[in-house]
Amino acid sequence: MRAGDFDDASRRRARLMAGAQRGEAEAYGELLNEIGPMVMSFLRGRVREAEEVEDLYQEIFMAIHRARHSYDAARPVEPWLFAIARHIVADHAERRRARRAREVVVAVPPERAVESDAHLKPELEQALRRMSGEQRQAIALLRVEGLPVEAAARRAGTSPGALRVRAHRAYKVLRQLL
Amino acid sequence: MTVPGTPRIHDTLVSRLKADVRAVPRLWPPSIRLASWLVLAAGVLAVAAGAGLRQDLGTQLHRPLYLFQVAVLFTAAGLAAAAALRAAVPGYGGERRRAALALALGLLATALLVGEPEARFLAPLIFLTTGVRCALCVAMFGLLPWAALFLAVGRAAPLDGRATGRYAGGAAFLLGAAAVRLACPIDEPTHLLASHVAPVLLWTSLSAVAGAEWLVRWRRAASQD
Repeated sequence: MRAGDFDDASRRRARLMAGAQRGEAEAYGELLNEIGPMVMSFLRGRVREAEEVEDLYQEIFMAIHRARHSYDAARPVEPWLFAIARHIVADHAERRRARRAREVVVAVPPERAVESDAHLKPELEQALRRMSGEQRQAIALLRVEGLPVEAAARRAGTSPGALRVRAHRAYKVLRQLL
Repeated sequence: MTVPGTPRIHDTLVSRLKADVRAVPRLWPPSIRLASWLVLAAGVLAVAAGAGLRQDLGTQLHRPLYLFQVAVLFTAAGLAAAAALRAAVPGYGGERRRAALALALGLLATALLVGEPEARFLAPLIFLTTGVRCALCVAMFGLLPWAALFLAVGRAAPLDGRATGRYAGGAAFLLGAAAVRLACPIDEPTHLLASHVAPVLLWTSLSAVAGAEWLVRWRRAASQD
């Protein structure tokens, strides 16, 4: 799709994106609400696990936010948007393949896992240090105490959505460092 | 208000991004940035021609093979730069075709350099010292165009840092090779291959590594926001 291929909806989205580049929050919100279902349908066609879909959805939105200066207002938004989405999904698939290649399936779990994980301790501590207090709390409530999201959110004094965002970012830090 | 067809996280995410949105300076289109880079590239060639060791440059410029070598190297550099600038803008497209053309022209330039009729072989010590000098000159003449291009693509949002870094390196060091071809008085094919062409591959590979490390930082920052 090139500059001349705008239909009405596409032209509207291009206008909203240009508004977002000028810092107009309302235009930006409208654009994100409009592209949300498009991104979701793109992800559903490519990713099976619901939890991963939600993670990737967030990742795509964050990347769109960071890359918004690179959008050329003379062109439609869609090729720009889906290039980002496609790359993030491909990158995710690559990371997952690499992770699976490292995993070893054992019939009987070892009795003392602590010994074999000891070498991870410094990395884990480093990763925890890199997180904000809120992210550490989200990990502690959800993974260490095993609370359901709603209960954990109540304990943290925030909404379930905000807690999920914090946990998502904390997992990202862990994934990158471990 | 929940938007149908979006995950639960959508509203929180949109509120947060809306609160964080600020005016951002737009990038110039790749064609304008390419034109600026080509002006810089032409300047580098002019410096190489003026400050080089080639005393017979005027005569050489009337020799079609020589002129063609420099022109092909310069065109390949321009195409690689266009590929890098396009690769840095998501969805812009066309970068692979330009990179493939640049590669084809790079191979053509190599064939033209190997086809030089000069038959005198250099003594080993001279081959080595002039070789190291020319390899470093390829890097030196390419350094400023590389830094300019690397910064230009880094200001955009490259998705594949390694490929973008490779294209930027290819552009800058093909230009470096064109500049050294103007400055170096040696026309012996083995010297041209080992000291003018091979360094382009070496510096381009290093640029790809730098690209993989540095050019995707905008995305890593995004995932930790």
